[in-house]
Amino acid sequence: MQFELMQRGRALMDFEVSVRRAASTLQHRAEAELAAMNITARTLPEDMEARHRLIDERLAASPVFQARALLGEWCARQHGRAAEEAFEEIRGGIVPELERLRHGRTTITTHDFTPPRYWSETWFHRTRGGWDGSDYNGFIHGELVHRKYVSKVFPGDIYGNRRLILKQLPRDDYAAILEIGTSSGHHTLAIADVFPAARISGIDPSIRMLEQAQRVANERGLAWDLHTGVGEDMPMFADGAFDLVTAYAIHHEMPPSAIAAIFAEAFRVLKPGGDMVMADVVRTRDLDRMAAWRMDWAAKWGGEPFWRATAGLDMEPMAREAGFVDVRGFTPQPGRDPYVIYGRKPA
Amino acid sequence: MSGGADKTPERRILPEARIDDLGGAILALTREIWVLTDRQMVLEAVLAEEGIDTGRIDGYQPDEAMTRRLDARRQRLLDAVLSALRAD
Repeated sequence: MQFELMQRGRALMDFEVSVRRAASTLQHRAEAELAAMNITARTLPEDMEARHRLIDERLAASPVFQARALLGEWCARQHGRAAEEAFEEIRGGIVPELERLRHGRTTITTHDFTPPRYWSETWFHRTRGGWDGSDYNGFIHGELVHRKYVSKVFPGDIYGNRRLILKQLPRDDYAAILEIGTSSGHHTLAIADVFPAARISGIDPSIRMLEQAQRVANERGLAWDLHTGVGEDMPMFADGAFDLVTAYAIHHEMPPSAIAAIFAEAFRVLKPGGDMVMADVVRTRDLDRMAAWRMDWAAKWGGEPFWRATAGLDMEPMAREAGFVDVRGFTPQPGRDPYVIYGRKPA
Repeated sequence: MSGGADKTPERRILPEARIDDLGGAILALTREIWVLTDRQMVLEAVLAEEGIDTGRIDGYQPDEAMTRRLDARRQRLLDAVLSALRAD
């Protein structure tokens, strides 16, 4: 989506990126201070809370750690607000185009559903008001927060990673694909790129995010079938309706019980012989204790209340419990996101 | 705005003993803001004297070289604040 921010909005977003990068530099220096005290991945306690307590105690007087926390807190609270402000500066000029892009081959079907508490009661990523917090929050999150902040502060190619896991699937002839947790359409776009002949459906509880996914699709002339709802309960989709079910980076936003329900529903809506591939944050067990603390600390203060419980999950037995076979969980880039879980519904 | 809330716990990062450092950081920022404000007012006056519409500033899109210069200048500003917080 082509647009230009005004000077103030651009400068606000650039500032958030610089502050976040400075926080990362300070994080490394804080860890160097710990190493000088002989606190390393090898000496940290196994229990995560004990790890937090030890590090908080030993770095309590460290100006570097304090500054790291201040900068992190600033970004966590302010990045979304900076994006809102940047949007308001261009609102008058861009809204007609955003409304025009609602019309096209991609449809949104709204359903009556009870939003789960984990979603309705939590402002993920400390996004003020939650995903549906403002009228154009889908554009603000998908185009401003995601492309002008997240993609610049997270390591690696966060868009390329989506294509990577899809290209590793055993087939290239999927005709009907369901994405659970469509949000503003970043993974959906990867699906459309990798499987251009497939009919793509998506489900997400946020209507504001789906509206942005719809714009993204319509701009490219794509015909996605989008629905409001949650992956744990998808009565709008018949048994055996899809030959691939996928999701990207949604599991850490929900409790483990919801993840189990999603595996069960994914299994139900898959055709016999269909594939399931989902990706989420790297597993805690695949990180050393310092790296795991670093990610847990960032999640704790970054509006990720379900991170610790879900990043610690072994999803292989959960997928098998739902009925999947040939299940394997793996991390294509060791020590980094994403963790990928694959399974197949028996033919 | 929909329901829900930011569930992240409140925290106090800086102890009271560091309030002077915080004051120093604010003054460092104030100084930088003033230097930039002064420069911007001078710049817009010079541009106007040369007959250039300063409204173009709002819509200006920096190229790669300008982006690098802006990145470096922004880092200098941040470093000044971090220095006041003794994290330089």
